[in-house]
Amino acid sequence: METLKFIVFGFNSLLLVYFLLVCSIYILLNIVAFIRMMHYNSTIKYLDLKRVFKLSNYKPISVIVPAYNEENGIVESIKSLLQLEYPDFQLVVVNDGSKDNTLQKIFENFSIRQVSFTPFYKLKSQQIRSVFMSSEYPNLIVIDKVNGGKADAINAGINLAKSPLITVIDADSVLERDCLLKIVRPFMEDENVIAVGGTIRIANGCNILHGNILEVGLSKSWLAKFQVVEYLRAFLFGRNGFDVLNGILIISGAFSCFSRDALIRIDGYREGCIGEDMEIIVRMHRKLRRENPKLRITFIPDPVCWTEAPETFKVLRSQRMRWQKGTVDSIMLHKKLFMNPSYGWIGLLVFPYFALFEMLGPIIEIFGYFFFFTSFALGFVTISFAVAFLTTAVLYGVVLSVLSVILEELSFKRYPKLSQLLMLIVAAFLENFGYRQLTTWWRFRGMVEYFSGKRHWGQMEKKGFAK
Amino acid sequence: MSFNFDIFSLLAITIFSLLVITYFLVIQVVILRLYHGYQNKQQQKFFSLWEGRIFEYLEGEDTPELIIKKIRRKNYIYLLRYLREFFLMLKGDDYLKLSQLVNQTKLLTFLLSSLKSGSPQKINEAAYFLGLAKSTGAVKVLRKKLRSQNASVFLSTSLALARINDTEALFEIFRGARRFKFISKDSLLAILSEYTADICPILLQNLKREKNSFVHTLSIILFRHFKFYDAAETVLKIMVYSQNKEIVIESIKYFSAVEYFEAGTALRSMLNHPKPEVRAEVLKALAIIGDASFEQRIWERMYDPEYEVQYNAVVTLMKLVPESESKITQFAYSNLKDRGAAIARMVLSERSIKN
Repeated sequence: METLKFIVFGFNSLLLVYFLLVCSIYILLNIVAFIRMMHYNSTIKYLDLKRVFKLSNYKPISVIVPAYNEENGIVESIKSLLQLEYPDFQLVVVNDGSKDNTLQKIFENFSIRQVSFTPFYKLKSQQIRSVFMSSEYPNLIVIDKVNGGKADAINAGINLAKSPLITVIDADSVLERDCLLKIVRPFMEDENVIAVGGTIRIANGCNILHGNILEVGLSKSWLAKFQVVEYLRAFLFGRNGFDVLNGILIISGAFSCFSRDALIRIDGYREGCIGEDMEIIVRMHRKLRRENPKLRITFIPDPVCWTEAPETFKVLRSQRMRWQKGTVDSIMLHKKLFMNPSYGWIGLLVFPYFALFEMLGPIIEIFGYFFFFTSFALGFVTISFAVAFLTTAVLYGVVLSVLSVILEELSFKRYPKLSQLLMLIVAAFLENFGYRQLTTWWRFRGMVEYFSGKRHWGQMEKKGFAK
Repeated sequence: MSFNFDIFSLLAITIFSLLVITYFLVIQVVILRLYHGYQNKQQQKFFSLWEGRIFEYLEGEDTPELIIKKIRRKNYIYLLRYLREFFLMLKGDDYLKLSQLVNQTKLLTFLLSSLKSGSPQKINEAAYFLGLAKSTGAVKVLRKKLRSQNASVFLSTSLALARINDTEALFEIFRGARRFKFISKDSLLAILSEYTADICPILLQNLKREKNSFVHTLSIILFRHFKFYDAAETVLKIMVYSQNKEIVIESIKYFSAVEYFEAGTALRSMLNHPKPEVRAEVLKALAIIGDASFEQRIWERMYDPEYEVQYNAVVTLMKLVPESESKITQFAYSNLKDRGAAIARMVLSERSIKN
């Protein structure tokens, strides 16, 4: 019994240290993010983004859209993307061997004709069957290739892209019309920038017409509302905070922009990778920033892209398990970075944070619950202590979520109605009772599946936007 | 061995603190929303009032003072925000009349006092509007602010001075940009291109004695931006002796933009430049300032080891010597495995679609 007590006590103490460490890091991130956001707000207040049209030194962009079985939304997506505001951009749609009528739909709507082609670069990708250009839209290129997955499709797109900047987006993303004007700014302001990410928002409940957000709203589904708060927290705090250390380790695959040279130098996206969006950024840090520590991978807090969030437990579970597998995969592939001083803050702080809190977090949390309740059952902790500890943890989560809602209110104020704001605050409370534990459990399962060899993507069904 | 009183009290205090924090945070969110909502309402009210008034003013006989007199000082900022889009949109007499609203009224005093304040946010806001209204009356204060150690103040005042076209501040801006090492070339160019072409002769004079390659590059890009032909001879000399890739590339782009045909001979020799980016740029320029006599040299580039050079060789050849199309077609389909031929096929098919 004494040994058991000792083990339980030891683990509980470790858990407490872990909890305090997480809290301290989050508080630090919050403070940094608040300062950065206030500074950022004052910089963008009187920014005339469209001035870039008058400049002779703007940077052309190739927008790559990998598409797999997107027959329902591809035409609307392309039409909306062709309306993006930017002086010089090329749209490269890559049909990744879709089994439905994706290519046919494009044929019918954009007057495309086959062209002879030869790739500019030689990034690894499955065979390209044909390349098409539109006679109606001279900046539209369509690539038809053998299926190889998202990373493979992006590589094929990069091989044919002509511009020095490459933006990669998901076919079902809804973009803000000035997103390219915003995303290009860091590249203009700092020659050392090689990758930029933007804030992704949840589109469920928004009024969308022809790929444009007409009115920002909140979904009726609580699952979607919880995710809105989650995204606010992840983007406005997490990424903002890490950006100050040049420590962005992930840029969302739904919208990212890269210097083409940097992508070529690291041989593009890694094939067969589960979390290709994180892996590529970690690899950029590992390969390029070691050669030149001045290089920057940065993030703009502006909402640039809206995406559909899962509204059913089944799809959400699949998404979270996949995300967790992606995180584990990227960390395991680049474990050399862990506590490696040659990589500066990334090696000493950011990568260990991701390994300990993002990768191992679910395991520690699940075991934490187990040991905690075991201690309680065995009488090692009193009921008042148990309740007090759990309340502290939950309240801390609430404070963090409410802080992210405040930051949104201080910066972009995208939710126009007071009722929406109050709803977000309610969601910030409620997500701590069940939702957070559920996602932790799915992440735990994701890890278990990863280490037991089940490393496939899983299905991701999307409902699509109503209008 | 059990967790008891001490930790429990600590947790109780933590819970209490967190509850208080949460409560205040929620209250703060609501207050912020109400405050923003109120401000927004006031602004909207002001904007809707001005929707008609602005056109009445632009078309009517009312003096700027009369208009501003009717507005309370606390609403000045709303007016300025309202006028922002008009400043960016209007030209000619309408713009002139609009700028009088700032330059000949109490608004100028209001903005100048903001400019002299210690708050970077206020300074940046004031500088922005003074720049939009081209307020020459603010030049002195703006120039002083250029020496600020705050980068955002430096950038906003530089932009304002550029918009006002204060050529005397030009080199102060250059010096300031060197003081803040993180200010990129592109950011600086975005500011300097707000000047008018008046800066070109000044930059040209400076270029003759300046040794700094950063200033050379910037000046050449600005000559291109303003299509300033008179600098061509000097730029040609700089390009010929320069080892700096960026200067060479920017010079080539400049020659093509101002159509400086005299650079043709120098460009011919650069078709064998060791840097592929330079060879590609030369080919692009030759499409505009070259002639049929370059045909043979351009053909040689179709066998260049670099893709971009080969691509531009085909494009330039087709543009420069239209008769060569049949020869290119023959080349394109003669050897299906050759990369140059593949590129030629690609250019031909792209062209057929565009036409």
